[in-house]
Amino acid sequence: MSATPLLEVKDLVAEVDGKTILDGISLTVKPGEVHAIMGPNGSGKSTLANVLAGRDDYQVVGGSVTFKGNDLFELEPEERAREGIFLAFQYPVEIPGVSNMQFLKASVDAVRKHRGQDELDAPAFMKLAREHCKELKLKPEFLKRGVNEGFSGGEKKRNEILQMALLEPSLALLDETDSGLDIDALQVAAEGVNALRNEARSFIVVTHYQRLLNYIVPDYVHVLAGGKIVKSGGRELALELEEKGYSWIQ
Amino acid sequence: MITPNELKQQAQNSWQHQSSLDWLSLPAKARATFAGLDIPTRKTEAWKYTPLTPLLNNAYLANQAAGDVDAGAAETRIGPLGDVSRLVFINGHFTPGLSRFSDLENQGIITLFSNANDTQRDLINAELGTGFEPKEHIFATLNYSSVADGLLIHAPADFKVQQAIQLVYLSTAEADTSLAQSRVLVCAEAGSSLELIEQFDSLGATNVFHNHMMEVSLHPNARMVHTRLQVEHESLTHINGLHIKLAQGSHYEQHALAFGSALKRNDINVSFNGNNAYCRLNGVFLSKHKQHIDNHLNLEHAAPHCNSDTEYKGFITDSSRAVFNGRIHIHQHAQKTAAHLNSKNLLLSKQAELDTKPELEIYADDVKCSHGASIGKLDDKSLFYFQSRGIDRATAEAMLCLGFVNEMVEQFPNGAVIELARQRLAEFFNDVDKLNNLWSLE
Repeated sequence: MSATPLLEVKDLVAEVDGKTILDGISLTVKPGEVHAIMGPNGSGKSTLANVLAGRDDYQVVGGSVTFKGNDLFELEPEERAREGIFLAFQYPVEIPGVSNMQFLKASVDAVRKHRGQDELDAPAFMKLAREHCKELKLKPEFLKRGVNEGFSGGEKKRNEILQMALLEPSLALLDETDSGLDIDALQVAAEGVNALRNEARSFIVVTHYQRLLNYIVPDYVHVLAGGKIVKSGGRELALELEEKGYSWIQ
Repeated sequence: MITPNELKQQAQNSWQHQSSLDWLSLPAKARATFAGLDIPTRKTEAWKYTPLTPLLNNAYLANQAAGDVDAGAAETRIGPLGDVSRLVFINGHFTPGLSRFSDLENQGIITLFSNANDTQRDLINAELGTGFEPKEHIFATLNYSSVADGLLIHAPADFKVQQAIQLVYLSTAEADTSLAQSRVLVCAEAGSSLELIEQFDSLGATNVFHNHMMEVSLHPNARMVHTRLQVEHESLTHINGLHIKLAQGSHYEQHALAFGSALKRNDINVSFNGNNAYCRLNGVFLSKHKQHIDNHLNLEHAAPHCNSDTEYKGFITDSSRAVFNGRIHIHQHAQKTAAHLNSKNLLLSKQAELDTKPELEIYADDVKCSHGASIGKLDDKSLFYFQSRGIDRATAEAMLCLGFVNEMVEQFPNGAVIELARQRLAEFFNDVDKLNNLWSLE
């Protein structure tokens, strides 16, 4: 328990068009920890992930967030990504005309440059991307297609995991990665995530259902309702929620 | 600057110095029609957003362009397209030294008007000038008023032309501003098929006005795939008429890429004359600097059970101006028509201007039609997706622009043409802020 926090959220208040969505969230994530954020629809759990990644649809009106000791809100979204924050989108965006490979290469180049690493040349990058594709059971042609264009729900989510693997973030935010996935696709995605777990990398897993947490086992579970964390606990809390539903908490 | 009337006089004077093919009946008729027409002005509806200033400022019609060229430079510019039959025209003049199409020439499939035999002459006389209303297309009428030569592509019944036919039109820098004219007549008999690649390019800056015409007649169940690259230097003035007649069960598909220039005007007119014909028009146009490009599409659904899909994209930046006019006209008896037209545009500068006008005129009561136009900036959600992956906003914007254009280009039916288009796009983007070094990212 001595490690310095990777992420420290204090009394975070955020709103959309004057409506409060996050109403005083505090959360501390240390390196290597996996935190699950659970909650009913509309509780603000996706908002939390998006605010941390820098989406400007939300206005932060109170509180503070430090990431690696620095004020997160001083950073543009791309700077947060380069510093090691990764958001796996609930609804990955389709970008026709830009190949997945182009997109991944531009992304990895930007992040590696920031970290003082050498840019990967095209063949080395291709090789790396293909290896990750194989682990995620994605065909190599997948890299040539437009970003998420015509991908199935499962392919889109695995594409997010692929990006995460290539970008090697220190904090991954998984926004309802399980939504729209059947059990097989869920397992593949979860294996992809588990393969990236280590003592330095942290995860915040946002989910409505405990099902995902059978595969990605969290260290902590927080229940969000009405924009507040109403209960925190260990893994067993998720199981309790599964049994009793959210009304028990609210 | 001369007046529109003086321009008309200039055109009529130019005919006195030119010979036409003596067996061709159309020029005399076209000259008579032309005499009764007025040069369009801003008050002419079809030319409302496209002033003819370059034609009034430059005495193009006073001189006929010559066809001299450095063969090596031309060859380099044309680029290799692999296994195709190729015909090259320099300032409208057929250039045998750069062309190779002997197989199709021997089979009578490709013939210059000047080499046409009696049967071919009859065909040309019967078909040329029948695909449009001459009064509505003054530059087509001008084109047909003096026909020094032309190209006939004739696919016999049930004949599948295996090799794609590449038509290259290069404009050059002439001693004086001058006029280049060219025309192509395509007749595809019943059940035949062919692929045509039209490549309009230039060897550097050019002081030519290129007035081009193509008429296509697809007989029952004939198929044609047509790719058009208009990637000339921005100094060019180019007016292009394409008139397509579709008989029963025929299938026409076009993929087009066009850059703006001093003046560029494309008229595409499609007439559905028989049941169950299909037409796809995919196009992307780009303009920058002070360029101008005008696309006028007209689909005449005059027969029942025909379908058309039209998707045009525009990329407009700097102080350039672009026009898109897409009209679908469903005639009263054209029941069960399904016609869809969409115009999507990126307007990237406050000084740029786009006038887009989809038009639907429906006189039948059992049809499925849709049309839409959007003029937008880049999508915020997409931009955030890029940024959340560490890509800075400027690069994200650039990549989205390129994707917008590339989405159309990657649908081209021919891989070598896609490659060529991408090279020209790289040149186009070379001085477009932030896009210059990205296009080659593969």
